[in-house]
Parts: sequence; C-alpha cells; structure tokens
Amino acid sequence: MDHTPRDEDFAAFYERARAGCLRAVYAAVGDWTRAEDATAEAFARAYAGWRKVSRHPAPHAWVVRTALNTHVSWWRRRRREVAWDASHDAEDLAPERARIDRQVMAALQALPDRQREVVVLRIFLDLDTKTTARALGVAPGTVMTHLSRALASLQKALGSSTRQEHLQ
Amino acid sequence: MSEESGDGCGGGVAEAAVISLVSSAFEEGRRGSDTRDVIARGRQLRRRKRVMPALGALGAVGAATTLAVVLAGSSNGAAGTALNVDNVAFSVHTDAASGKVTVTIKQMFDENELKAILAKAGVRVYFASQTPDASGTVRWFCSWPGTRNLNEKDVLSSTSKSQTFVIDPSKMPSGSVLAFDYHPIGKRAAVTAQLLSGEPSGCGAPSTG
Repeated sequence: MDHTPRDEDFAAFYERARAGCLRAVYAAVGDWTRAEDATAEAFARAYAGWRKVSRHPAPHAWVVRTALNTHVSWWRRRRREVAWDASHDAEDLAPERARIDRQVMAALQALPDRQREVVVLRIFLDLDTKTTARALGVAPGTVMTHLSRALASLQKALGSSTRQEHLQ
Repeated sequence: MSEESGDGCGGGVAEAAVISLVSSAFEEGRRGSDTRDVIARGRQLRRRKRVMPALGALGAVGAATTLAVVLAGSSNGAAGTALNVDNVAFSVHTDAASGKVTVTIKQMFDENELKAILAKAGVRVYFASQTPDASGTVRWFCSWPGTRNLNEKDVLSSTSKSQTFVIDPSKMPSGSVLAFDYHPIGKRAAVTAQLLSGEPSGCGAPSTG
C-alpha cells in the first residue's frame, strides 16, 4: 500500500485512539464483535473524511459517535473471509475482574441510550462536558443532567462492587 | 474524568468510586482491526464519496450495476459537469482544460445510463442499436427521420480508435443532438455518430438513392 502524509497522520491517530475508542464502543454496545466492526468502520469513515475529521475538536469522540450510528455489514461480510487471528482473543481476566466487568456492563446496558452515550464519552473517553456536548449536539447542561442521572443509576446498580473496591 | 468532579451530580466519594469502577472496566487489551484494513476500507469509502455526486442524477440502481470507476471532477461551466467514468461497456472522460468529452463504446451498453452520463457532461445524445436481421443483414447507417444533419466538424472528432469519439459540448448548437448508431458484431461493436438538429423519431431505413 502506498503511504501518503495523510495516511501517516491518520495512522498515528489510529494508533493513539484505537484501543480507547474500541473500549468505549464496547461499553455502549455490549458485544466485542459488534464493537470491533463498528469501530473499524467508523475509523475508515474518519480516514475517508480525514481532512474534516482531523480538525474536529475531539476526533476520537467523532469516531465513537459514528461507530454507534454505523451500519457494519461490510466488516461482517469481510470477517467471514479472514482467518481468525488467535492473538485477537481477549486476555484471560481474573475471575473477580471478570465478574465486575459483567456487573458494569449490565449496569451500563440498563441505562437509557443517551445516558449511556454520555457515560461513554465522559468516563471512557475522558472528555469534558463542553466537548461531550459538542460531540452529541446537545447543550452542556443536558450532558450534566444525563451524567448525573446515569451516575445515580450506576451507583445503585454497582453499590456492592464499589464498596468492595473501596476496601481493596 | 477530565474536569470538574462535581459536574452537577453530588455524591462525593461514592460517586468517585462509581466513576473509578466504571472507567477501569473492560481493560482487555483489545486493539481492533489492523491499520492497513482500516485505511483500505477508508479509501474505498473515499472513492465512493467522490463518485456519488457525479451519479446523483442517474439513480442508485444504474450506479450500482454498472459503475466500475467514476471520479467526478469540478464543474465544467455551462457545458456540464466534468466526468471520468470507466466501466466494462463504455468510458466517458472530460478534459478539464478544454472541456471536451471523450466517449468510448466498448460493448453492448445501457443506453439510458450512458445518455444520462453524457447529459451531465453537457452532451445531448440519441442512441439507435441495430442487430443483424434473420438474414444477417445490418443496416449500416440510420437516416434519422424528423431531423436534419448538421455540420459536425467543430463538435465531433474521431480518434484512431473507431469506437472513440471526442465531443466539444460547447460547440453543439442549441437543441442539437448527437446520434449514435450502434452495431454489435459478435463480441465487438461498430459505432457511427452524426450531429443532428434535434432528436430523431427513430432510426429510418437507409436511403437507397
């Protein structure tokens, strides 16, 4: 593949953002395969419109938002044609960590879509309120309201886990 | 989180614990697709983004079925849109500097699609396709009833390839039509073109006089 300055610029961004974006998308959709497909498609779209996306205040937020609104059939089709790479398998997690992850996922999935999106951008991507609001196309006050409600719900759902974490 | 710990939601330590717990979840080290795959897919999408404006007037079905490579260029003024279309049946290319349109007809084609593409390039055309009759006879030249032949010297020029025509849309008189007479011969085709004063009512029998 011929590499252009655009490719190098994008590739550097991809290296920086890929793991975080994938994790954030997974937190929103709850399925690794779907998250990987959607994230890859979103990054591909970012490449296709890199001139514009690179000037976005938070390109990784653009990727995550796009991934959550993306039809992923292209990657699904391709997946059948590509030999599975065992290195893609998730590392074995400690049982306790796996249990907590399942609880966190269940709590996230119980949130309304918009609240979950806010959690993904604010907590997983570590965006500030203003950038989150811009990424979602809502007012900062709306982000704060959604986050407040989401944290209250998460706190209720994860009460025992958070207490255990404090004790550790 | 990156900024204010309050963020409009009280709760102090408990809230911080929830944020800490959630933010540390799903750390499985997954990295997603290979960079090359993403860039290859991105290039595919980028090509498609360039193509779609050029084919907007043609409809999605026609575009999906015949398009091989279409690259839409900038507007070519009043003469039409600059196009670069390549598929198995025909190609249409606009010279950005001169505005001249080069058309190559390679094999049996969708007349309506080519007509629409050339219309976008500023060239009004009419197609007549003739197949040999039962006796194997081909009427080699249509007579184009209901219209009259115009001098095509400034509008149309041929190239060394008999199926390639170079058209200057800006020189086409108002209302004029470029008529193509298409003859499939086995796997190949012979094509002739004639500039007409208007759209013919069909392909008339050749004059015997």
